[in-house]
Amino acid sequence: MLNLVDIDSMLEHIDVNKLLDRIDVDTLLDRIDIDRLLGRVDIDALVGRVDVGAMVAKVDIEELVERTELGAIIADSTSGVAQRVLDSLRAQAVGLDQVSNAIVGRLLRRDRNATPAGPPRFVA
Amino acid sequence: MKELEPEPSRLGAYAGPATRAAAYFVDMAISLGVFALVIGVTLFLLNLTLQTDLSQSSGPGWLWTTLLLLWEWLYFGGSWGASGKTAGMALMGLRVVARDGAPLDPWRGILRAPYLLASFFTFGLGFVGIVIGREHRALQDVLAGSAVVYDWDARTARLRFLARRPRTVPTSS
Repeated sequence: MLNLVDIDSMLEHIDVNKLLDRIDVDTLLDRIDIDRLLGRVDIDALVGRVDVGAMVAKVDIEELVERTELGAIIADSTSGVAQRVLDSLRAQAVGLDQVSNAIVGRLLRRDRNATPAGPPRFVA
Repeated sequence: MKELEPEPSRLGAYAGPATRAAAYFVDMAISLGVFALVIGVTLFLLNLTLQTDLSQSSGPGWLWTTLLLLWEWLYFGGSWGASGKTAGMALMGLRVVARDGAPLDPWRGILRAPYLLASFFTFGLGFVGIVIGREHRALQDVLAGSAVVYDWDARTARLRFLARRPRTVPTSS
């Protein structure tokens, strides 16, 4: 019997918005036993399907730090000017290291991928 | 969407020549400064108590050289043996570790100091490995079985920098 009915053409005649307007969502929600519903959901399996790594990778940490109170917390937890000078000094030196490494690598025609970044315990 | 390029951590990566040279100069300034201060104060107290007129040009040259070498050994070797880093290295965010990355044995740290002298005695050739070596190891590293790595987290430093930056107030157009 159902095979004879063209569901698609029938749905085309239905004004879904009008139908939804007639539904009292609050009453509907009141009738739902959330605890029972959650009890039937396998949360572990659900969480297991979430790719947390990919999710975290999408988070722009730098933007987060700049725009939220998290930045202020991090700033407060460090010792201001001295730390700033130190960070800057180290960053400058590391920058020079990288320039030197790049020049030497180019002169010696060294494969960057074949050059170890650090001792096995740190980079393994 | 903005392409994210997080700052590499650099923690545990081989340290390059500029950082190591900067740390070395800081260490030399500290160690020589402390040596000169201690000798100066000692001579001053001796002159005061013994009513003598001793100065740094009083004693034989070999005595001062020996004292200086012993002090440098104590400063560098003691620091590397105790914590894997000197004051200059701590400032620049460096640490001496074993070649495989394990903490350096204290005796290796202590021996690394005289090996450092060997790098000087080879007319500086001992330092060439820091510039051209794949593991940036100097002669003293090869002899002591050590390597020098970055001991600071550049990514955290970058976040600290961003956290301190004044916030931009969004303008409504």
